[in-house]
Amino acid sequence: MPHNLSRREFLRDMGLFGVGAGVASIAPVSLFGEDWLDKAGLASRPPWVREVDKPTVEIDWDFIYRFDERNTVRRGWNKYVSQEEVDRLGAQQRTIGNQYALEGRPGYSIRDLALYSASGVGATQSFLGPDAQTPEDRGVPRWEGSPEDNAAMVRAALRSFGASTVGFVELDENTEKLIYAIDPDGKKVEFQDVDQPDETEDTRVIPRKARWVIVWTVQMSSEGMTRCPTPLGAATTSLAYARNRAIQGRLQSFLKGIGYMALGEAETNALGIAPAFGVMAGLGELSRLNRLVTPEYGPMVRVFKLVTDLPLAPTKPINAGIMNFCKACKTCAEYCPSGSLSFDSEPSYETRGGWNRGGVKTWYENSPTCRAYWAEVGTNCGICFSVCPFSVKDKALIHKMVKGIVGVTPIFDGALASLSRTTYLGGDADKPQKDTEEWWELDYAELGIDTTVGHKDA
Amino acid sequence: MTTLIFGLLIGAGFVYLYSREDIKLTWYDWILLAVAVVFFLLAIVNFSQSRAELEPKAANILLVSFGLPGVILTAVVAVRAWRSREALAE
Ligand code: SF4
Ligand code: SF4
Repeated sequence: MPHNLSRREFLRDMGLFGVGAGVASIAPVSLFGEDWLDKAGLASRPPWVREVDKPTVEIDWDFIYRFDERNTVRRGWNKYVSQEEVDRLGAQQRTIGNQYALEGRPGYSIRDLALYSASGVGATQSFLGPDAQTPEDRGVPRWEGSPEDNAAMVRAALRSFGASTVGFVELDENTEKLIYAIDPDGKKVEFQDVDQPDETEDTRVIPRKARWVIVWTVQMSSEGMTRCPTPLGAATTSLAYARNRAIQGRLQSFLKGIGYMALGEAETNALGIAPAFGVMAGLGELSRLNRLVTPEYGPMVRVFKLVTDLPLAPTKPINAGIMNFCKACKTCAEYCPSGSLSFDSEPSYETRGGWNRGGVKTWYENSPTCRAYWAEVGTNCGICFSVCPFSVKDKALIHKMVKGIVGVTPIFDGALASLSRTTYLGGDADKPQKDTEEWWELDYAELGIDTTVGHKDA
Repeated sequence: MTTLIFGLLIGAGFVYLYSREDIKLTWYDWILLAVAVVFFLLAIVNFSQSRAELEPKAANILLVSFGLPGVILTAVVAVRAWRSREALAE
């Protein structure tokens, strides 16, 4: 027979519940996804970030081929607009900031311009990496571990070097196609049956036995990025690239130091397709930006990769409801001042031009119009990153509640996207969402980021 | 510590209400009150965390979005309690 609570018992329990709730709330809880517990090893994420066998983005591997990086607008802009136009816009991009500074445009003062330039200062990077003391030099055997132990070790090392999240991809006949055929500087990238990597005048050689790709993110400051498209906002991106040059060099030195090869990006965006490796490693999902959006930091990351012969346990792609959310959201497309992003609800295999390789069912962007807008503002814009609902800082409980809902069902996606716009965005589409002068008054955290987001053991 | 204090205050509030002989609440009044408390907590927590995120507009919107249902539920219970008090007095 069910026990009927008397009024007295019920009220006593309610009183105790209140006290209990207070006590429980000071203990560490994982109830709201607070506890990401991303240990060295496989990242443990909240239950709504599900590991899946295939990425949420559809890929036609038969269509995929190794791309020439110089077909992107970074290097190949003149393939899509005339050389004179490239020269004109390039010169404009380099100098227009000075003109805006003289006009007193917010975010373009001399201190903003100097911050932008200074943020890119840092280490150099190379394919083969810096010299390091090897196990032979020390007269000690090289490190030997299981792929799982090695993954845990590399994750721990990369974290300490400044990376945010880390994943691993094994190169097979498909994923090998994500390595560029030609690097940005025009050197061929070849897989060869050789014992050691090499770099010549025109070729970078990856030995076939180097079958693993380490993929990692470097977190960017969303507080900084909300000041895009100004030099102040763009300093965030520059800083992330500069930080990574040091991180890559440290990782290369570490891997060589334990007796393995470490083949990194010879320069920005070299070696392989960053969002593709990010998706395959489960660091995030592909999005309407045609870039990686992570569950932890949204698009507020840069993604990097390195090839090694150290055996590593691969990490699986994820489904956190992000790509589905993009179908209903479209905020980035609405805020893009150059109309470069797709408004289609569904992703498609149809590319927008030679800068897109194709073979992936995504939202392809119009890179030349985007690039032309950069010349208008004298920076690399970044508005689309800054307005994305996933770019919110992860301090408030509401984000965990919303991400939890988005991760399990798409039915509220449209409503949540429009609520997010009302709640977080205020400025005009082509203006910084936050006051640029105010940035200089902030009690800014180191590097402008919260390094505890996504991790527990600081 | 703040959350502990909140917990103690809420517990004390419930015990106080229970001990008032002149207020008679049904079991579902208590449930409504508990839901209202959850809304208030969500309002306060999201307000303060959003301020910490340097998002004052979001903080205000979340305070109202979660706080208003809490106020409405509390008002419903208060009216019912008032009526029960009058009934008891008669
Ligand atoms: S960077 Fe700017 S111009 Fe380019 S797609 Fe994003 S919002 Fe549009
Ligand atoms: S702004 Fe919306 S549509 Fe664009 S990437 Fe972010 S979630 Fe997707």
